Amino acid sequence: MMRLFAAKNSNRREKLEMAAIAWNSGAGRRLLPGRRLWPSAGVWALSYQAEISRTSPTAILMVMDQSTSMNHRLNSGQSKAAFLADVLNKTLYTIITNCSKADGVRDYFHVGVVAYGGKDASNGFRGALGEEPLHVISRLAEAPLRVETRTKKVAGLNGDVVEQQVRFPIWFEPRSHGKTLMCAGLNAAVKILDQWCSEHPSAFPPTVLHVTDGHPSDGDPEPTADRLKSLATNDGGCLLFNLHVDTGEGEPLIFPNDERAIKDRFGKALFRMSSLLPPHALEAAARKGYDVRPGARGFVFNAGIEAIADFFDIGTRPAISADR
Amino acid sequence: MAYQAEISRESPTCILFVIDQSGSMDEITEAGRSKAAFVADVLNKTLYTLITSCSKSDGVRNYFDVGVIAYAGSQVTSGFGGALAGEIVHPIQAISENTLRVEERKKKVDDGAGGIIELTTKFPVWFDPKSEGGTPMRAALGKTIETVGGWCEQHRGSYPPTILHVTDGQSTDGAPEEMADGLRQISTKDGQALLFNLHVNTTAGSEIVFPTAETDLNDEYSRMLFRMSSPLPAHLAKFAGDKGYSIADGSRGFIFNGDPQCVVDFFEIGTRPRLVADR
Repeated sequence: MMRLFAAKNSNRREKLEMAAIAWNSGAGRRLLPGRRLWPSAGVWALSYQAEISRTSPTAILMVMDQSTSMNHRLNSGQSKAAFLADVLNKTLYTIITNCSKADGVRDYFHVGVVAYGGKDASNGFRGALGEEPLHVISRLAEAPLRVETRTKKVAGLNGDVVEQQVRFPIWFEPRSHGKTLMCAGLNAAVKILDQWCSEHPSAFPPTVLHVTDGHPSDGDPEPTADRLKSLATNDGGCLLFNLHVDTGEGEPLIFPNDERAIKDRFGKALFRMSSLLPPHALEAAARKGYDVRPGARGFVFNAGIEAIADFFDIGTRPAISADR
Repeated sequence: MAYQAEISRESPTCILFVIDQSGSMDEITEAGRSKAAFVADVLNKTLYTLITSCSKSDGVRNYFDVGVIAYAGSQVTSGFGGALAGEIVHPIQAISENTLRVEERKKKVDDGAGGIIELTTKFPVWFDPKSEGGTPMRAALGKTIETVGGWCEQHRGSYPPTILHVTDGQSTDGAPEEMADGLRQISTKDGQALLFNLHVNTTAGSEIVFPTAETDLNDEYSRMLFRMSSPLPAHLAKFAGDKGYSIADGSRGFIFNGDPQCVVDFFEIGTRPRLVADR
């Protein structure tokens, strides 16, 4: 399903290779002295190439801002918190579906949610799932909080839109209360993933999707983000992707490669906090039609509903390459 | 107390949009469209929202008299076309019946289950973007005085007129300040006409929103626009505060260097007079 190298057209291939050059020359990459930088498969093979399998799963951790401002409405009419919760729940359901084989849900992923708001960062899951920070995906599949019936708009014939009743499992509920305790949220992620990396030294490294709409109220999050990205398995550093959500007026800035494209001071900081997009995410972004340039970061600024949905989709797609 | 009059069919209020269509409005915003096109979209959407808010089971009720004054080059004209072009101000019901055209627009919306779906929506158009020539702001405000003065004479008991003035540059036909002062002197028994000024810019991040006298306004031009703007009446100040803007005593209906989000909010806040009666 996931083609890393067999890009269809040469342009995209070239683009990916250019991106690989920028990526490999990026800060934080350890390179052997005297080693020539060349965008060959060999260089890519250094990182983000581990097979994801039941014996070697990867981790996906969502870090969700639940501060008061998340109750502001998107231009679609829903609150940011409600729409983000919908997208997160759908993403969890999609991951479960992708891991579902004839013999059941295979544990390719360990998944958790950290929520910050109120007075602290805490587990975004409630009930039985609230007791551990990460869960194997089959456990998640068994224990949604509830299953709602939603009226979903789907494209019918002749461009008509028809409504369908669908079952929609809920694991994560919207909340919006208190300050933007971003440092606390990212610190919680460091703790969880530090332990996970030491227990899974050869796994595909963890992916963190961090979603916020505001400026941190508990200090400078950049050092914590750096610590998070410095956590590593033998297959590479922990990936931190940041999503900045706005009301949806104005165009979002999607996977920028230059800090100067962002005027907002905190937007610049979020850019620096974001990992370079690794090959699988570059590929997924290009397939969605995004023009990803060399040096593109896993960062979206000023996202509306479409960019939010795409960010979650692109960010949670490391290749399941083994035992499918 | 001013700005307390009930708005009803017997006692409608007046909303007037004064739109700069000078050459510089063709600058492209970060959203990739010209300022003129963006402002036209927001104005059309605002008109549609006003119509919707007046639509009851018995039809569109005339709670509002609405007009658009467009200015560019040496011209100050009605921003409406077709049957509406003859007069500046029309009852909202007449506006609802006289669109220039209805476009089909594609819009991505929430599908109800955490996803996105593209819908085709009807988008009625009354006002088309234009951008050429100079910025005859003085003449435009003169025409506004004439229009608002005439309206107030005929509606002594009404909630006073609200004027939303949108510009991106300096007047090219003389100082507009005394015209603005004259405009704000016009009143009904319920208070003085409200003039709100929106200065639009192509880049985000440098906006000054609903400033008070203490706010740092760096140049003479922005200070003049500030002086030209009415203080926000209490109900609008509250609405702006609910939208997340920081509002203080003395906040004026003025945005400087407004980005697209500011444009949308300015129109929404400015066209929210007190709740209408006889709903």
